[in-house]
Amino acid sequence: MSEKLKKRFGNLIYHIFVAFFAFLMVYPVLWMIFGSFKTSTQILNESHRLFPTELNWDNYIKGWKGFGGITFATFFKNSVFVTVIATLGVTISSAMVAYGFSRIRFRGRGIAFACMMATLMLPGQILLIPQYILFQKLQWINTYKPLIVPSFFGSAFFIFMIMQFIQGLPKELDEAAIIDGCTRYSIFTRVVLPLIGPAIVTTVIINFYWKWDDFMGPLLYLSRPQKYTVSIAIKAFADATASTDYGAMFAMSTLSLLPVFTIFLFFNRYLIEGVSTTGLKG
Amino acid sequence: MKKALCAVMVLFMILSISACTTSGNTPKTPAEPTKAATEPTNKPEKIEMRIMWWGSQTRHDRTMAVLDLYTQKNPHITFNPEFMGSNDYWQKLNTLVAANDVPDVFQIGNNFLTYYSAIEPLDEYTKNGLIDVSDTNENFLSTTRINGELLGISLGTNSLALLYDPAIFDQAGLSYPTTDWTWDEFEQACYTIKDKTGLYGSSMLNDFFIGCIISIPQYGTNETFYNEDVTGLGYKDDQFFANYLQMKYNLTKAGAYPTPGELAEIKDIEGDLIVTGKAAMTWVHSNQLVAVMNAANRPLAITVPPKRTKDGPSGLCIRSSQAMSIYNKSKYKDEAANFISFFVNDIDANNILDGERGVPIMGKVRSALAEKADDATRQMYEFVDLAGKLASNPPPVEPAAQIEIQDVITRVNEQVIFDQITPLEAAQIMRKAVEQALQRSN
Amino acid sequence: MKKAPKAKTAVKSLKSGRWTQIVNNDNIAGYFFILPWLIGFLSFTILPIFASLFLSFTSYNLTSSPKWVGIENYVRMFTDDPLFFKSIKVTLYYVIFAVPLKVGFALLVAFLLHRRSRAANFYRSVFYLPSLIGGSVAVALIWKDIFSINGPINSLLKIFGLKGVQWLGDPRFAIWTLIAMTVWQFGSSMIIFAAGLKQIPETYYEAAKIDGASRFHSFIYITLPSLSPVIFFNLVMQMINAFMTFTQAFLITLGGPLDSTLFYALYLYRRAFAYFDMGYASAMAWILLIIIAAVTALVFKSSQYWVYYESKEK
Repeated sequence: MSEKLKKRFGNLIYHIFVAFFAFLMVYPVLWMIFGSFKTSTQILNESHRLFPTELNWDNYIKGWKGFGGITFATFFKNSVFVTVIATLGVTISSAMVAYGFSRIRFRGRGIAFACMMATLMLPGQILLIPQYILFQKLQWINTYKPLIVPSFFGSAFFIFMIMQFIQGLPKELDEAAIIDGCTRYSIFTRVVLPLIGPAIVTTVIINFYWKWDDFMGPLLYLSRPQKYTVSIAIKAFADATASTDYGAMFAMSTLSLLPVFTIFLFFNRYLIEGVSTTGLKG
Repeated sequence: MKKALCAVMVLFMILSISACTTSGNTPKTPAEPTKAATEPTNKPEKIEMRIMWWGSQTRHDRTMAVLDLYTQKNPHITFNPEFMGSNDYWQKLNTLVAANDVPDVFQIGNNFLTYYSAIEPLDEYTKNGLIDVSDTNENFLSTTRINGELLGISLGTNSLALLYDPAIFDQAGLSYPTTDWTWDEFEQACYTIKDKTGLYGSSMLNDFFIGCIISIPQYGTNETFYNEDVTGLGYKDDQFFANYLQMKYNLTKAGAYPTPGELAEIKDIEGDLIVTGKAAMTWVHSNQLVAVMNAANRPLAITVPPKRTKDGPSGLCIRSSQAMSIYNKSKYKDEAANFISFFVNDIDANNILDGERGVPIMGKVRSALAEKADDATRQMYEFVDLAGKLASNPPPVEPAAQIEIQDVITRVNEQVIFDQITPLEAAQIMRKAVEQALQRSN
Repeated sequence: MKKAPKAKTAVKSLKSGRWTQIVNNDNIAGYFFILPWLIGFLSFTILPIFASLFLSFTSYNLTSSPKWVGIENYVRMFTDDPLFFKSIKVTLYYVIFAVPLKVGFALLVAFLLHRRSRAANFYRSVFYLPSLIGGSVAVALIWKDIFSINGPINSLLKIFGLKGVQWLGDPRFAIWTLIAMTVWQFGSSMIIFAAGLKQIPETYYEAAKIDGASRFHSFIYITLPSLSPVIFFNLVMQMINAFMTFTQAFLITLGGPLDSTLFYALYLYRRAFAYFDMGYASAMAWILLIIIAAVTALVFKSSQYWVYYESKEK
């Protein structure tokens, strides 16, 4: 009995601690969400107050109108299109490349891997202009191609990440599969892929958010407002030289959280539910 | 294998170098053709003009409405508008300039020299009447004239204002600032305000604009911050800038001016310490006046910045807040010129724009807008008139190294406040660093 | 490399025919799998990279064509630019503190929330939220507020009898507001850890339980070794990212006060796009690449002592 009480008490402490901490963590997010019901002046000058004095939807109405008749419906549609396709591309290609790097010993593997890691180490700002000129020569400016096509060739970050997961799988699995008559290709689809589910889900969650939030790409490559994504449309509220409509900006930023958070909630359960995939079950 | 790899790499290197240099060496090659290229003739041919600006929602909406109005009147011309927030605008413009892909018409600040290689001089177009400037005068046109060339048409004029809270001045028993206020009086007033009310005398001072551009000519030596061809500093006595830093240092140590921490907490001009009621004075450009006054939501008054001596020069100048320029590799220069003329002269268009970019330079437009202006806006119009009368200097030319120079000035100023160097040392270090930056960028 | 022939013969003995032999050759299969990356690298990445290498030997102000200046940019960097050294110092300080804090924190939270319960699920979502508002304007505003002189952090310090500081105005502390922000956004590292934890076979823990191991012991002897490849990944990636940190300082401190938050990438960006000194900025980028590559190589070398791969030959 006392043992049970002790456990309950421990649970309570755990929850109080985690809940308090969670509140601290999420406070800035709540502040932004509640800020979307305040006026710009209130946001700037009464920031210590978390809750708005009234639930005022004006910012949402004003913000949603967008710019010159192009509403945020258009921007959301564009963002969803770019993000979904790019995430699909990154996930498939990165998993494939990661398998190649981590399980197959081929000539030039070391050099190729080093080259891939090196691309992560050069600050992106320096590549903006050469990249723009490259896409310009391809006549891809003002299309979604510069934002989408490179995704289909894998992302070094996720390739490296999935590699770490694949290397966590026992090599005996491959050997057993080979004895069963599998080739390199069918090992990937039948053995490895089903076992790296958590890594795939992680790639989807993180890349979806990165692509949704990506701002430099759309800023440079899209030159028609009808094609703008949410990330640049939100920034078009800000004019440091005159005045910024923080209310409308916060309202649209809050809406912009919804898709990424929904994706997280949907895929998050694959990281928790059910019995853990054991390496030897496959 | 290794040899093959080497060969491939060398090949790519050569390719990339040639790709770079061909795209960089553009004066010879014309702009990338995007539409069928034929000379504009009498027969109106359908064209699409690219136009780019920065701003907030209000500006985007109004500008798009004016573009529609123009297309209604000139059905053969449509627009591809590009708009963005002010911080991102320059990133995009820089990229487009480097890639020779600049829109036909683009908004620009005072940084004409930075983008000089992309700007079409407009003198020819004002002479042949495509851009109608009959309703303005040389004072306004000179805000966008650099080294004798008209590089844009100003969309609004601007001047630096001293904004103060009369109620705090009353409480401290001080008389209000006047147009012949001096910096000594300003400094004393700040101490008095601190003593009597506990508030700061002044909110953030713009070190570059106040400490350099306005302050240097005020010494009455006929010198300006930059020399005439903007290749170096235009004044000899380092004490001039040191005096300004010394004043800030004294004010900070006396608690009459905010600490660096408090200044770093200011989030936006609408969150300025005068708005939050912590300071009695602040400094704003006239196009920001309306926003600040509305945010403060209590009576504030405006005057011009203080002078060095009661009867000395004001050091003031009228500047362009932003202008429209034409890309010198545009295929539609005449059409672009025609459009700019419409944008600044047409009464209907400006009724839509409603002076949001600052006080317009065209007389008829200005009076049309002044008529329907609200209280705060009228104050802004009156102030720009006043500043125009008191101005003693032509607008300063911004060199290509402008931002680097401003960063240098911020840096030495911080070093003074943190007791690392004396104001005079700061002025000397600044001189050396600024001249270096100017040399490198020229 | 030793392993390859064995696998090859195994495949060979099962299948016959020249075509399948070619297809199942490790070199062919390897390049087949990395082909997407290889194409992308050759077509989109390598040209801009070499272009930037070329630009690093030029003087290039973006508006006129680049002029070849040889190694002048590199010479200037090491002989005549105190800000270059200052920014390296600031960045190293940041890397040393922010990376272990963030990775450790993400690991701790992922471990604490690795329970199959609704509450853990909920908390995990809450902890992920901050990462979603990343570099937004809202964060910039609230962060200035949290660390303001009369803000919540100083009030908290006061409760413990400590004197508040000017977080944003004091060169000694300003960088900590940015470190705090980085650590606060540990969401993606946490998710990667969560995925790693999920992949540890439950049977390991069950076996340990039977042997009477405590929770702490199973963390040390099962969780950490099994998770080491993922820890290694997060460490390497967070380190690389930390060397290139830009957004936090760009949003909040702009490098000040007294250049105490002038991150390398921030300085590089200003050189490139505000000072119109792209040649110099490109040279800075290549120096950074060398620094990061050296540090990463060290971490990779060290990994053989502490990273445990299931697939490694014993």
